[in-house]
Amino acid sequence: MIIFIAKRLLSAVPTLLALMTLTFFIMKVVPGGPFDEEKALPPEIKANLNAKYHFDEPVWKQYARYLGDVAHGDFGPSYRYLGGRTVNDIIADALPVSVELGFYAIILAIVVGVPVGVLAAWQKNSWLDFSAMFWAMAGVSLPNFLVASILVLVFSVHLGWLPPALWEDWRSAVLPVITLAVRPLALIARLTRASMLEALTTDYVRTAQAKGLGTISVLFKHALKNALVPVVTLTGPLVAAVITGSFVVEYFFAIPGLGKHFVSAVTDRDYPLIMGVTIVYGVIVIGANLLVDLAYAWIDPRIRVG
Amino acid sequence: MFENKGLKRFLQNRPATISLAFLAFVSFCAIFAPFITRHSFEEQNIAQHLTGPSMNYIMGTDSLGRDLFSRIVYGARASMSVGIITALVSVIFGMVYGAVSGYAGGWVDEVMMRIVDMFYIFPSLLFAILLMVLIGQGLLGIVLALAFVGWVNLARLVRGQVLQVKEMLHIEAARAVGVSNSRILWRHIMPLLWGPVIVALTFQIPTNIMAESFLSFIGLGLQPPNSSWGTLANEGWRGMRSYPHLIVFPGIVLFLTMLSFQFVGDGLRDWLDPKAR
Repeated sequence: MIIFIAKRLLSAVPTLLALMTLTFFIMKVVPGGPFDEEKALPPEIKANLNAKYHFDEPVWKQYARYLGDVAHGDFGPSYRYLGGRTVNDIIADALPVSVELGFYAIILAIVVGVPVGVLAAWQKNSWLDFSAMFWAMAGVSLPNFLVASILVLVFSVHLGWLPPALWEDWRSAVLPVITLAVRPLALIARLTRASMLEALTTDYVRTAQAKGLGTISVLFKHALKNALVPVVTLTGPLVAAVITGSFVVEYFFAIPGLGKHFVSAVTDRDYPLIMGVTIVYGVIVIGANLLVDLAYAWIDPRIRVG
Repeated sequence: MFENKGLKRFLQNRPATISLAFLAFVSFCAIFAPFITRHSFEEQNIAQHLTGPSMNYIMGTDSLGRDLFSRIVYGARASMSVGIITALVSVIFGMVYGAVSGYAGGWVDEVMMRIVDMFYIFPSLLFAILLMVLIGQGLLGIVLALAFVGWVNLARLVRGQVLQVKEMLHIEAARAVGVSNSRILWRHIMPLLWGPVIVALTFQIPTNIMAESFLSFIGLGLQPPNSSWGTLANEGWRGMRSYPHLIVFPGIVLFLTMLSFQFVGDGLRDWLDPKAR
């Protein structure tokens, strides 16, 4: 098992390196530098700035320097807050917010999505199944901003129960978490239903029923345990969906998370921040996929050997 | 005979036919936009700005007094064409990539699939945004960026199918009589795959329409004066509390279009790719 983990960890290194190289060179090829302002800077100031941020060095040297810095956990200065906050400061502030938001959204999606999928499979072709699957389909088709605006209109503007924006107490988290959870929830419900349908036809479920076990026990203890194995593979796509979803949700609700910073960094051409956030996302996504592999190896020992 | 049976099943699939009719209607509106709308999409009527739906402006007006209905109809042009063009480009590329990888086999296949894996685990919209930093925002940037990230699924799908098909007897026969590799691939293998490819295309279009509106909503997609459903929603977002129609109408049109593509795609899958069920 330890060898398996080590192998997997090592295989993540080239992916991460490729990602860093790609982002670095994209940012280098892009026209327009960070110090191109409407009013041209005096040449000596520009030369000083370029020297300070090593833009006067050859590209390969900048690349080597960047890789070295990142390896030491230093993402460099943010161009937007020159002299003030570094990319590290921004990530340190924003990452916990986004992780919290994403974590709650995934929990909500699992807690609601799995039972919905189980019930739909149990009552196959009933009105319950059809309406659950219709909503699952709608959940995949609903634009985030429509969900968010309807929620805000109903619960903030009309009823006045919840704040329409910002990230302060738990009340302000409710609407963004629901918005972000819609898509993962739909995906989980669909997949759970599909694999439950398969599990319900197996012999061990029939045996459990024949023994006279209660429906709930058969569904949740016997069938669901095996049906959840394919759902584990969803973890990778779910994390990806939550990351991209957070761009809209954080923008919409003015939440100071990583997604909002990424979007404004792109608009402001704040290259170090774009690269820093991209690498953080890369680590998260690769880590999530690693966890899936490990979880699989743990659930199904055949994979470890092969 | 066999195909007619499939077609019949498709036509009996109520949600799929209704959805297809809806998509035909949206496409019709997009193509004949000038004949359908009463007001030009850029005509400003300041006296009538930010009105709700009325007989004259059936979806109301925006902050400059422009007719929201015509803006949505013209927005359909951008949204639908971005969706269709990018889906076509990425499906064709993915098809060729997957076919070559699957047919070549060996280390070529290994290397090509490693690249696909790297694309696969990374959120494609993040890639698209990074590419748009490089190419520039606007129509061209968004088309290239979305096409570049959308091909991965199809490459995997086609590769898997080619791996199966290439062991079939008629391929072996063709090889035995000395047909060249590329001719076997394009004349004898690919025609068998058009069903799954069309189904994949139907699902790729809404994915790309959604991606475009998503990027446009956060201000990274189309730039004015271009307008799509995403940019309309973005314009509507600021005044949402007082004038909800500005964001709700484009959102609902987008939602219905997405839903329709899903139903049509499911129907087509039952018809053309029955194994996938």
